[in-house]
Amino acid sequence: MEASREFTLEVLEAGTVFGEVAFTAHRLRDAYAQATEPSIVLAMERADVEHLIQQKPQVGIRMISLLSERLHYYETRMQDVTLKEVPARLASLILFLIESEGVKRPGEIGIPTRYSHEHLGTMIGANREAVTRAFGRLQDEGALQIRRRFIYVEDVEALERAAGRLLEEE
Amino acid sequence: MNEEQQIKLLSKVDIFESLPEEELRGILRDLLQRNAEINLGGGEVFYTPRQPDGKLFIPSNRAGYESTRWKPQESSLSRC
Repeated sequence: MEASREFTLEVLEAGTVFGEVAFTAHRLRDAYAQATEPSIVLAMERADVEHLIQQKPQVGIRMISLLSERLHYYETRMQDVTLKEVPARLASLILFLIESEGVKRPGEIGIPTRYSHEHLGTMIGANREAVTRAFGRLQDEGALQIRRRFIYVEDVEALERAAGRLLEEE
Repeated sequence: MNEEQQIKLLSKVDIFESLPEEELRGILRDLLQRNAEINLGGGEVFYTPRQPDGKLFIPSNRAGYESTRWKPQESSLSRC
């Protein structure tokens, strides 16, 4: 395995609340968040958030739910990176991406963001060449297509099979 | 970002989804009193674990949560 390098833990869409990890006792020491594009960030102080939760307990309940969703997401990603081959990791990541930002069209689901192979590599712990090879395999299996560098998923079940999800559920 | 855009952003945040617009405006007023709006260029870092107190961030555009640590024994924050 290579030495220290960058790993994208999560892509945060506009309006995604972030930083709840800082409210827990455990923080990733070397993790940071950066704007991918020019952006305005609203920041809420911890005291304000705690006050809001006291006033509106439903916000606290949603936050617990958010934390458990994030935990599940990170667990799955880490499991993928440590246990799966690159095509399966890529398939699993694309399943997450279509959940978070996929746009349904007749016969396919498009991912509106243009991800470079290098960036996808940082999200699955692989280099650019391995991502390109994995895309070739997923395209051969009829799971997806790349057109003008955008990803279009044509067969979600084939992608789930490639990700090993269907086997896990059986 | 004007107030309407800020309200639109807050209303998209899932932890606030059960709150009516009037309450979102109240939250926003509190936020702005504390100069809580941060303007960032692409690639600018807005969260590191070294920040002393926890904050909750709501980006108006796409952001990445990154780690520079690949092996557990290594630690560097090369881009902060």
